[in-house]
Amino acid sequence: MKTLAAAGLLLLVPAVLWGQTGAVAGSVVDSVTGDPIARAQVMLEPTQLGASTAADGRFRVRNVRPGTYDVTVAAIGYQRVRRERVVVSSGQAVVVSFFLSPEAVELPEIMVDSRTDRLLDPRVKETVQIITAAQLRELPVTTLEEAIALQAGVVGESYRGGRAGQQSFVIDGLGIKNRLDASTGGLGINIPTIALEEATVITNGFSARYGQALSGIVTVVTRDGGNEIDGSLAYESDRVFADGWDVGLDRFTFSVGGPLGIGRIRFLTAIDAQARVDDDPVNAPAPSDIWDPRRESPWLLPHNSGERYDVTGKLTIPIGSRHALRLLGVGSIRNRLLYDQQLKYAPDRGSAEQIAGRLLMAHLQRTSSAASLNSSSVDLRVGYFEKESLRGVLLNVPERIFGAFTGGDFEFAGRAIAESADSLAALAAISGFDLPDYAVSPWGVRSFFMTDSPRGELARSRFREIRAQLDLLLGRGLDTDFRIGGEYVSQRVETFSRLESYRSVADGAPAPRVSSFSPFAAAGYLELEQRVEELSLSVGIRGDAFNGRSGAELGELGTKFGVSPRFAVSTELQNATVVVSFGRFVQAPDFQFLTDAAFDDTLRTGRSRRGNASLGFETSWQYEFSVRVRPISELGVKVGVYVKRLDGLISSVPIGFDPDSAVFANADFGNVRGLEINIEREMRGGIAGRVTYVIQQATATATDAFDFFRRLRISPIGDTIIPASIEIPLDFDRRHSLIGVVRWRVPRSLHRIFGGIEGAGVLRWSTGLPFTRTNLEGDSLLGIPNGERLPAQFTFDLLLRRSFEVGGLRVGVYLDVRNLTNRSNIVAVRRDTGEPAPGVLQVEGMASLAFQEHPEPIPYESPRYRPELDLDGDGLIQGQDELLPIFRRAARDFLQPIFAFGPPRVLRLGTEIIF
Amino acid sequence: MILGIIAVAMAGCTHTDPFSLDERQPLEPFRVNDRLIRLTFNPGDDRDPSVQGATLLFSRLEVHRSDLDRCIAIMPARGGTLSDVMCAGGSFTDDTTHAWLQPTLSPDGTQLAYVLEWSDPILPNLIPGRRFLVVAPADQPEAGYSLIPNRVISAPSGVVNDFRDLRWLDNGTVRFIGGEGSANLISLDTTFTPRGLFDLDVAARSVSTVAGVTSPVSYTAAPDGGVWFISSIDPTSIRHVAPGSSVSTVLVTGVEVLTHVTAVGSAVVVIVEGPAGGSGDRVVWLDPTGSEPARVLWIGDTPRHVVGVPGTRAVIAEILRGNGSNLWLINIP
Repeated sequence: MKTLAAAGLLLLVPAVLWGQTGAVAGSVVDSVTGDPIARAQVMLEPTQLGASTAADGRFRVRNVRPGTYDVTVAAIGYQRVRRERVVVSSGQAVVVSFFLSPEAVELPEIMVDSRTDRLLDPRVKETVQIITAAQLRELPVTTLEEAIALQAGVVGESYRGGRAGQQSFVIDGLGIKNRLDASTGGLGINIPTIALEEATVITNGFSARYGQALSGIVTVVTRDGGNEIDGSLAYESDRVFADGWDVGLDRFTFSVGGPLGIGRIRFLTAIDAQARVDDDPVNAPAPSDIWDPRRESPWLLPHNSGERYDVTGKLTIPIGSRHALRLLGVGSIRNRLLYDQQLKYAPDRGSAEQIAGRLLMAHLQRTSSAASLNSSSVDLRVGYFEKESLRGVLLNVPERIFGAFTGGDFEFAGRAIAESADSLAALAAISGFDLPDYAVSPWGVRSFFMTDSPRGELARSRFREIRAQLDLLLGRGLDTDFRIGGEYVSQRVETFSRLESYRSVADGAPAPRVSSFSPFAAAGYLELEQRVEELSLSVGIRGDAFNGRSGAELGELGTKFGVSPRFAVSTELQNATVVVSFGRFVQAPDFQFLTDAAFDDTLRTGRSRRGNASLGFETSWQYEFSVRVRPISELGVKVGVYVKRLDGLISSVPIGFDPDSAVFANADFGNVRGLEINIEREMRGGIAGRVTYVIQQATATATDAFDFFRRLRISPIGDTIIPASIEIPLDFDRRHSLIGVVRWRVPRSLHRIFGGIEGAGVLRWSTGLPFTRTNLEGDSLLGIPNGERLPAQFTFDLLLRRSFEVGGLRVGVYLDVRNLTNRSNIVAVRRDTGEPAPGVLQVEGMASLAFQEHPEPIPYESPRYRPELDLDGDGLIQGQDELLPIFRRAARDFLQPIFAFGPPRVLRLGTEIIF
Repeated sequence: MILGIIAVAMAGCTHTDPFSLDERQPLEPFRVNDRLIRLTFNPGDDRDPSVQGATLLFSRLEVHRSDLDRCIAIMPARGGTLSDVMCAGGSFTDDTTHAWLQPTLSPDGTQLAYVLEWSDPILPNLIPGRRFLVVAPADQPEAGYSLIPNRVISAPSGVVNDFRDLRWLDNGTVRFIGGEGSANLISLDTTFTPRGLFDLDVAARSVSTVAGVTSPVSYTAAPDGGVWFISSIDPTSIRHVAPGSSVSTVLVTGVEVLTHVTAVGSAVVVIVEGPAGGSGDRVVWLDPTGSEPARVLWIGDTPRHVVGVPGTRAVIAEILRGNGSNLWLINIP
């Protein structure tokens, strides 16, 4: 009877469900009479969160951060009851019901706790996919990004077919986005997965609280330190594996948290350090030419190592009974050497990249009294975020001290000039850049391979922002929640770029490009969540504003405004939950588009686009209809269809008749339509699984902000250029995508050796991404842009783990295998051939051109002389018969499609201690 | 413990290394026969050889350069693979021809002296513009100072604006033949009129005249510390200037004109001009004491320059064959 009562309560818990927080709800009942107990105090320890029961005995604690809590209930005349280790997840209400015994009666207290069925809960209107700390540990993933990529509709940095950069991060409630170059660069900070409590991915009509995104929101909740000292230490590597299975990987993780020993302050520290001798391993085939040095060991590239260090620290400081202060600091730095095929025979030279990110945040929370029935909370967050990237050549490549770890900083040539954006000093040739020449290669001939990059690139960008964000939650009874809040963001952008730094501008090098401006943004929102019987309704409106303030020379161009209504309704119909949502979303364009841009296209010809200081918001409307059912108890099925209309996306539009003259503008528009099917089996009998299938179509009038296609339409009489309305597939239009995840646990009692092994497998299959075909010269399109597709992709990843209890510690050994079948996925092709490898014409063309430019004989005394190529032995390699075949071999070497292939099989053997 | 063993085992292993480039070994000398080693095959001119220890420097026309620069090349004196080629402007070519001529390396290997010449702005590629004598760090030929002749050198018999046969006497002194260079605009050719033998004090940047050496067309160090030289006044003999400046004639050919001389031990190797103005030139070994008969080392083509390899019985000769000259090592039997 009591179980039934508790189960009945599941449908009555009116929790407000946020992507970022959860709730604890339930009822308090007299165990003797069965009557509800009013005014009982419910407390969540170690927080100051709590609630008071209503007249019907029900209670609800709102706005609970994901984590583990002890719930206590006290009522006058009843014995105090405590329920330990109640786990709360984002967007989910945990039901804990208490049956209290009168103090005069000696009866054991009874508690029933369970979770709401998230699948069927009509209050869950958002398409939320949760990644828990346990999953991050159990699945073959290393970073949060890899875990996010397992979610439905996510392809790399693209969410539901949108462009990269149309998502935003919310870290402990604070919105974070790399506003400078989100569409082409990452966030710049990584939080070690061991410091995460939970992350969620929201891809549909997200709450009005969230902005800065068109396609998705990733919310991240970091762990608080617990009441006792705990932590973990792990090391993983691929050293023990044979050649070809060893990409030089080493990774250390360490975390510790608990009480600081000062009052009730708790702390958490986490470190994740990883280094790889080849930081971007590829599964490219070995070259066939016996003189190619890569032939004997094709699995590793030189000058391609990388290391990253991610550190997170957190303090949780309770203040009185109703306030808490959280201080979070995140620091990341990533150093990478960048392999360049052009510098294959000068492996000590080449570009390097350093990306550093920092986040500092203070979060002050005030909650209402536990005795208050109408609970409320106020959250004030202030954050500082910075991302800095630097790319150039190194004065010295740091020595490796362990694996690919160097422990040293990169010494970039011209760093001081770049950091000070000294455009005057940058007019001269920059010290440390060397004049490039043709390198001596096995082929001898002067062609293709260089001693230094002819680009001579030195580029730096820095984005900083200070954000103040206030969120207010007002709960009215158990069925109404009202939220109001806003934010103000002050930003700073600095960019510097210089090409051909080995020579002065007076000698013909392009002038340095420098920009520095201070945008600002502001936003405010209102949202009401109301529950009426089986109907749950959410209505919100959000206003955003930004001003790039980059156009000093053009005059101030004013502040741009955007209004975003959001609406969602859900209900239960015939044991199914139906959700309808729609909303408008706006995001300010990347600030990189406000300034002039120079970049490489795929043919590395070097292009530029003119910045536009008057750019406005990119916008989208999204509509979704979803149905969720549970045909059998352990199986949940969710089917959703969505339509997303994109407008005002940044694209390059022509200026005049120069085919390479273009300016950024809000000129692109498009549509994304999709169907998502998600079937999930909960852990029963040691096996759990999930299958996700997505079919979608994403089209727009441009593939990305840099691609430059005049609007065209093929007329009946030929390829007449007409200002047109055709839409082409977006770069991330992956039509079919299938992801299967299975997890299993072998009971220890089953087998002496295999008992206790936990495992997880991840299978991914998807159709290839679109690409554009051109003619050999690359100046004419063949078909429409993105009219062709890459081959289908397939990978299978596996994680096996065996844990032991040793001396009170939990220790484990695990094997993590990515791309177990070592499938060579093609991730890029040449535009002219549609294949990774160049065609015969391409090789012959390059070889002939190179021969025409350098027909000079190679004399005996030259370091380029190869006796075996001197067919007549006259001390000179000369003439078409001797030289042209060598140019062909050199061209084939140079054109090897190394980065056209995805990662190979990567293994890592790890050990861990959890204390 | 198992965990520790695994961790230690993993950390103890070393990672596979990426592919590396094999250091290419220099080639052996290109041996024509036991007596002749062809040092260069360069289609462009290889000229002005000088030897310091086991290192050969010469001026090399890099045929792939569109600006026709002449660069300084370095290779083993006994042949093999070039160890360096340094050109004006590095690998970048410009519209002006820069010629680095007469390169010579200081005994300690740290300094370089050479003659810089660039094309005339009015008739580029036809006649040379001005010439400077340059002293520079050995690895940075463009970072040196130039000796501007008209301001520094006062020759008794005329202007000195051109330089030949640069040799380091020691780490602080460069010896050279100074003369007057001019361009003949009718034949589009240059002429050189020797004025004397000079010593440049590198530190002081001052020049002094070697007394007794008049109108030298070629010189070499005599075994007694003096100078053997050929004078344009009488090119059929080799004269000797002792350290005390006394001049004597040590060898007279009679009618045959000598154009170059270099010492090989106590003997000399000379280039003897042939009757047809070049086509019959010979490289001849001569013993000034007359105790051994002369030996013809090379006949045919056009030998243009000869320099001894210290410590050996070998010379390096610049031989013009067809349109280009190359360097040969001649072992003296």
